[in-house]
This record gives sequence, C-alpha cells and structure tokens, in this order.
Amino acid sequence: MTDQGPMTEAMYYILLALLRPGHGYGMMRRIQELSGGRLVMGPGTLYGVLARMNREELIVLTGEEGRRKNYAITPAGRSALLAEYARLKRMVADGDILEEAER
Amino acid sequence: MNRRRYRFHPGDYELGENEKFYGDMEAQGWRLVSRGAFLSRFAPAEPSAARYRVEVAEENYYAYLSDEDMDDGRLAVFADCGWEFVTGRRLLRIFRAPAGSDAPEFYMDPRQQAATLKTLHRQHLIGWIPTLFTLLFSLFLQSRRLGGLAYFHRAWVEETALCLLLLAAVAWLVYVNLHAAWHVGRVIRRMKRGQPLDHSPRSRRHVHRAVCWGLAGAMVLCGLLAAAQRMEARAGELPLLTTEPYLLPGELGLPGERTLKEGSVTHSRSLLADCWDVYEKMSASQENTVWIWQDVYLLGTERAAVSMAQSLMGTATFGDRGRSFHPIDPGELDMAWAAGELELVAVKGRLAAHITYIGDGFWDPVAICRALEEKWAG
Repeated sequence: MTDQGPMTEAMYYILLALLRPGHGYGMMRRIQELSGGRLVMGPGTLYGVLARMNREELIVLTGEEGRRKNYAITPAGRSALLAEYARLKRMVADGDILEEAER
Repeated sequence: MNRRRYRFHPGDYELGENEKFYGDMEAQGWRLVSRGAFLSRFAPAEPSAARYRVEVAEENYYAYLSDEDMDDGRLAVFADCGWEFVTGRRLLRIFRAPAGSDAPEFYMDPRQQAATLKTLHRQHLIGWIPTLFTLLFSLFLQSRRLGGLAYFHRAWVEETALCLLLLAAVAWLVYVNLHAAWHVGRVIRRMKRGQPLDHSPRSRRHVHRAVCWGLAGAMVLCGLLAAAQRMEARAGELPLLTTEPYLLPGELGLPGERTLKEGSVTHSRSLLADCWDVYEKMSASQENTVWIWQDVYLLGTERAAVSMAQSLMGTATFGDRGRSFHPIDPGELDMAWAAGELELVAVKGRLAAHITYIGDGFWDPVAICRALEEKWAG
C-alpha cells in the first residue's frame, strides 16, 4: 500500500510514532513528544486512523497487554512513510524560493 | 438505600444535547448508569462538573448491540486518556471524565468526527424504511385477501382508536427519523467546514419537541382508547329476548331447536360505531344444521351507514367482493342487497347489518328484511 495520495497529519505522525512499536496511549504521548507538543491527538482520531491503517496493512497488531493492544509498522507502512517523507521534503525544498524572495 | 432515577434523554442523533444532559444531571447529583431506548437511569452521586462525551460507532450497527461486543482496545485507549466508559446503546457509547481532568477531546479535527457520523445518518435516513415497508406490505396483503379498501374501511369503523394509534405511530416513525437525518446531516456539514460539535447547545427546537410530544401524546391517547374499547366489549351467550338491533332466530321465523352453547353475541363500541357480532348455530332438524352470522352497526350518520353497507358487501365472505350482491325490495328499510342464498346486507337510518346464513331450505331474504324492519322500527 504505497500508491496512496498524500497522508493526513494524523496518519503521518502515527506511523512515525510506530517506528517504535507500542499501544494506543503510548502512541499519543509519543506523537505529542515528536511534534514538540503541537499535536495533541484525541483517542477518537487515533483509534479511527489505527483501524483504517490496520485494514490497509500499513500497521499490524502484534500483541495485547491486558486490554491494551500493541501495534507495529509493517514494511508497506514504512515504505508509505518514507514516500510521504520524501514528498514533504520535496515540497519544503520547492518552498526555498520563498526564502529567496523574502531576502 | 438503592435510589435510582429515570429521565427521558435526548434522541440518539442529538450528540451535544446528550452530553449536556448527562453533565447537567451529574451537576445535580445524579450520575449516569445506563441508557435505554427512551430513558436513562441515574444513581445518586456527589454533584460535580463532569464532562460527558458521546462516541458514535462507525462500524456495523449490529456489532454494537451489547456492551460485550465493544472493542477492548478502543476502550483501553479512551481509558488511558482519562475517559471512563459509562454505558452504550446501539450506535452510541458514552464516556465520562471527572471534573478537572485533562482528558483530551476525542477528535483533533471535526472533519474526522464527521466521518464517524455517517452510519448514524444512514440509519435515520433509510434504516426505518424496511419496518414501514413490512408493515404496509402486510396490511396490503391482508386487504387483498379480505376485500381491498372495504377491509380498511371496516377496520376504521370497528377499531378507530387502534387505526389512529397505527397512523400516529407511522407518523412518529417517519417524522422522528427524517428529522434526525436532517439534524445529523446538518452537524456533518458543519463539521466538514471545520466547525466542532457544540458540546452544550442551548435547546431552541421548541417546534420539534412540540411535534414529538404531540405525536407521543396522540399515541398514548389512542392506545388508552383502544384498550378501553377492548375492556368495554361485552361477549356473552345469545339472549332469548333482546331489544338490541340484531335478530334472534325466532325473529327470523326459523324453526328449530336452539343450541345456546354455540350462540354468542359480542358488543363493542368504537369511536365511530356500536358493533354487534352475533353467531348462532342451531339444529333445524336432525339432518339439518343452520349457521347464522350477523354484523350489525349503529353509526353516527345515515351516510356512514350506507357507506358501511358498501364495505360490508365488499368484505362479504361469499359475496365475491360485492359483485354477487344485487338489490332486493327493501320494504320499509332504506336499502337491501342479497347475494346468492347466503348473504344479505341491509341499511336503515344509522343502522347497517350483514347477515350470513348457511343451511338448507330457510333462505328468504325478503322475510329477513321484514324481520329487520320490525326490529329496527323503534
């Protein structure tokens, strides 16, 4: 599943957080950490996106700790994340002309 | 003391209204315990400013009919975030966070929440159609079997309150669901524009509430009237003498030995008519048994009686939906029709009667008309 269009912000950060496998609440804290506190993801958003990415095989359920479910990124998810990262980098690079114009 | 309180809650589609309702109840010292179809149950608690949030299931509606089917993983995430799962019913799951908690809102973007409301929207938009279709189709089949529109007219006259109850229930089903679909659709459109759900809306929909309560009141009233009609209906054996407007076998001029154990009369009163349903089986001789059924109505107007006579012919068991009936000399009656050697329909003033006779040798519709004339003369 690497041919999808641009990712949503929530998908991007969840995949980033899952570079280190973990459960839902851990992911939420990690996302807040990764975004420097900018992004506080609600449980509804998180679970909705997890369910969708699980269906699309970007992530996989690896086990359960009590009621908590642990997830990990799949090779397809990693490819999609890398593709999105590359797309974002290109977009940022394309935006360099803005800085030149501002000078 | 195990005190509890029940309150009518807002509809499933009123998400913000439900959240505010449960928050207000807790502020008054009543904490939500469970949610039913129309009522929520509360237990006493310390008054506090708790937050309530409603999550709508996106998935298959039937997967969430019971709490046991709830996804543990999802509940764990909500619990870790500080949201306690309180109860769920159908598509709704209700969470609570204590006062002062830093539990985050469920959705960081209203557009994501909008996607979760599609199932709820679809349920209200089309979910009620199979129920209505089944009801109408079964009524249609029943009417086809028993006489078409005439069947509905008889049902309307005999069971007016029950028919009104059915009509009010259908109106309520259609109105409530279409209103809910419109309401959820409007919320979805607002969310798609980036406007978050209003968690404590001010109730301004007085017209909608008035319509709902009006329809509910009509259903209760009609239900009570229908129950009263049932309770008031009197059933008993045929008397030897009567002043009521049906005929006794002796008044028909029929010989034979009365077998009272197999004769009965039921009198009921609907909103439109007094109805007598009479049956008697009698032995005319050892070889010959006669069965007589009479449906007699005292209606509000003469016109209603004529109209009822048409419907009686339309639903007559052996009258081929009225086609076998032909006019006969009514004498002092207003009108009379007979079908074959089995059935007779007669009208005089506000009275209408349908008499079915099965047996050999005694069928004389004119004689029956004369007996009715005498009986209805007063």
